[in-house]
Amino acid sequence: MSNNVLSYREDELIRRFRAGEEEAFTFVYDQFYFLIYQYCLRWLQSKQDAEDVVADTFLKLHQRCEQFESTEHVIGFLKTTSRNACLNHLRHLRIKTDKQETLLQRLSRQEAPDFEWTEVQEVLLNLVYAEVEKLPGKMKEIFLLSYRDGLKPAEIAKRLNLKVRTVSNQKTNAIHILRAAMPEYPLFLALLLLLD
Amino acid sequence: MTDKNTIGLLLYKHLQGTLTDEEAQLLEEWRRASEDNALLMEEIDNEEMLTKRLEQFHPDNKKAVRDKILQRILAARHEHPAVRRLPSLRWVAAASIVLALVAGTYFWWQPDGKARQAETVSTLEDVEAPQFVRAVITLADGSTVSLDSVANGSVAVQGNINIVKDADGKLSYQPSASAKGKEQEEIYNTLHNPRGSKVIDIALADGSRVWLNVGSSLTYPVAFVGKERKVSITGEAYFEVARNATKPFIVDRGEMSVQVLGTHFNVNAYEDEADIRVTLLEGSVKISDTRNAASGIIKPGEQAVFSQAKDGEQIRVTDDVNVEEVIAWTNGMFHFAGASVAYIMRQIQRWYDVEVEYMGDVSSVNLSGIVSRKKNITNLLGALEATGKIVFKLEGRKVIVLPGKY
Repeated sequence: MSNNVLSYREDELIRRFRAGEEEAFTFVYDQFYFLIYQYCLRWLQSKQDAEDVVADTFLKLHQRCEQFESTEHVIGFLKTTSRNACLNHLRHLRIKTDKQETLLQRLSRQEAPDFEWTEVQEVLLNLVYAEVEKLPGKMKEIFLLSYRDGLKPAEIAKRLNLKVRTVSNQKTNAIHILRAAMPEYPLFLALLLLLD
Repeated sequence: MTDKNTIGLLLYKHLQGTLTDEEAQLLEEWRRASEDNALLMEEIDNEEMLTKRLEQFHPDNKKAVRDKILQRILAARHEHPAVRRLPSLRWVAAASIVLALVAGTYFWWQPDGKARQAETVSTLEDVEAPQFVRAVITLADGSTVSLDSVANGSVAVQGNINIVKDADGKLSYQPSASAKGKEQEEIYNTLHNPRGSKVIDIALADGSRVWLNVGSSLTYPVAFVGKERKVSITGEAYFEVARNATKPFIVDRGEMSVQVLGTHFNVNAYEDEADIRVTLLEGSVKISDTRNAASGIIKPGEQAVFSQAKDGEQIRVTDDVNVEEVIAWTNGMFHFAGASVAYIMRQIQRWYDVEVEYMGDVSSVNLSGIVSRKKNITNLLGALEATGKIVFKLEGRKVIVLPGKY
């Protein structure tokens, strides 16, 4: 997590990880769980199934912790294991939707686990949230509220003690807000900041 | 080529609309490089999908997922691996429902993994697959013979024909040796196979075999003494007709009929299906549509489709038919190929003899797959639920259908 203040030198991390220290395991988990989760979500299209596979994958990692010699080795194991688990899950669905059938075909065609798509997506969305951090106070709040709880403008207005109209004007449209985050769009920014 | 950080940044600029011409070209090259890349671009340009992703990447939501999974891992790490089986959590939960029933209430397992208290139900049980043939024969004099209550062997005599039930429950109409060559009046019997019964297999007096599905009836002459062999059906039957070039075999269904010389075919004519479908596996059959005085011949692997609607169009013949799927019921399987939920539920309703109720819209869901008809209803419902598109509640002999979370 971003608020995780721990940092390790690679050899130190691996030594502790191999020794089965929970802190080192959690550190490794925090580095990779979301990438693996997003990958599983992409292929399984179900949060519950994706959580199952992530839990299972890291549990296997934990059970074999003494075997790992580097973080590359760890991430390689996580990718292969989660990919195989997704493939197995799709194969063992006795009833499939067309979409699941297509996903199974595409995933079986990949010889090695292909995380590029997930990694690119992660870079992009991390950039978005880094940019959100820089937004002026109220705008940041509106953005975070609407994407955390899926709140409607009226609910956000109530919570932030604003006039409904002010928030509806800003129609929490992701693309517009991102554009607003750019100093090149001062007019839109000004509109958003027209708060009571 | 270009690394993921560069592409991520280009995509971000693409969203903002701040790409330079050069960057736009670079991104376009990347997009064209693979099917996956093009898909990712499409998702990002789709407001709804982007909103979903922004929600998933929200720091608070990320943390919730992080904590939830980590807790599970830390809790499970010292357990024996075999104790925790991750898939099918919902059906594991179903077992605990039965326990909770003792207290009079139960918790229905929601697809998001949250147990919620549901209404009290008086019974909650699995529904078994049909265990017996419950078919009934109506004899020429109107009397009936229930096949599940008679011993094996001869169950009735009609004229010179002995009706015999064998140990497998198979029924056959056997002319007695002395009857050979003797002319007799054409008399009819009707075999009705109700919902919740096993499929019944019958050998008619001419040696033709018919498999009668649940919720179906077959009316046939005890001995085929006329110029043609004429039977009629409601529901669904699979025929393997004994060859007899001089006596055509006719399946009559009022508005349409099927005439054959000797061949294998399936007729699905349930009243609650929109169409009557005749599917040919072997030989050739002539289909007649009496409403429009139209007829045509279909070849093996083809299917003739009649609309049951009053103003229905004429016969439509298609070769886009999965024969395995059509006759799967004769092999003890449910076989769906892109079937609608309504179609699947009608089959479940007939086979398990259950009521079906819909809560919410599942009309856009189409599913494919193969599941045994011989197992309990939860086996099939579990396989359907595993797609994530649909959720079931089972209350006694009533199945409630709800849309899934995905």
